[in-house]
Amino acid sequence: MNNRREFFNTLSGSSLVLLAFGAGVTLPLSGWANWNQEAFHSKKFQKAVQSLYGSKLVEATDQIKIQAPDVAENGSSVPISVSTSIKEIEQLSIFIENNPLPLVATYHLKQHVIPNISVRVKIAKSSPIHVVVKSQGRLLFSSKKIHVTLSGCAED
Amino acid sequence: MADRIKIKAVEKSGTVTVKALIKHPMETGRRKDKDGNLVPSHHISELKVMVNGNEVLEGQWGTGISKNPYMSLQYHGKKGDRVKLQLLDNKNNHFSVETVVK
Repeated sequence: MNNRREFFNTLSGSSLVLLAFGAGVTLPLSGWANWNQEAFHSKKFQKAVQSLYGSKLVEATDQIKIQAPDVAENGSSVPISVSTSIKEIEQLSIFIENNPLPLVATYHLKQHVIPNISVRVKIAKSSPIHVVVKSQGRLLFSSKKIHVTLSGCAED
Repeated sequence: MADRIKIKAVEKSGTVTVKALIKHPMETGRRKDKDGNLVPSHHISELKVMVNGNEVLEGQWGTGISKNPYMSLQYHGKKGDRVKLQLLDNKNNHFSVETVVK
């Protein structure tokens, strides 16, 4: 019995070492290592906002223009354009509320960039799209609903 | 791997529009192949746009970006600027492409 306990003790000890070793090895390998895994793996829109911006307080605004079709026949590739007249934008993110993982893209804008960004996204089912912008310490958002006929995600 | 990315940058009255088309499977990790096995996630996670060596845009992408992604952005610039797009996927592959603004 004692032997068995010792065995498990040493096992858990060594696995801890292994874990630490693994973390040490994988971190430098992951390149720029900026990818916000917590936010991208959040299954709820609110939670993704919280892990990305550290706050859930978002104010609605009409200064963000989201250009996207009202009805998308094929959800696997829906063009979205986002433009805004808000000044001094630090960060801009696109969320699709009803996707399995709502956070789709987040951008940090530096000097000289005009906040006018297009990208094509997958939409699982009809859903509101939220664009959250961080400017001068405030979080502002606008939304647009898209109706999807054919899902852009794998059927389970 | 430069042929993976098509990039075009055009200037018009002080505004440069950069458009890029990237060949990438963008697997979400939820799709199953025909034998019913889950296809592991393989997607672009980070991107950077540099103009004449200065970073203008830094982005992170999740699995919700379409297969063979298309992106566009605009910045205040001029003809002859060197625009570089750098990408990194979750399997740690780096791709980059450079073009001159027309």
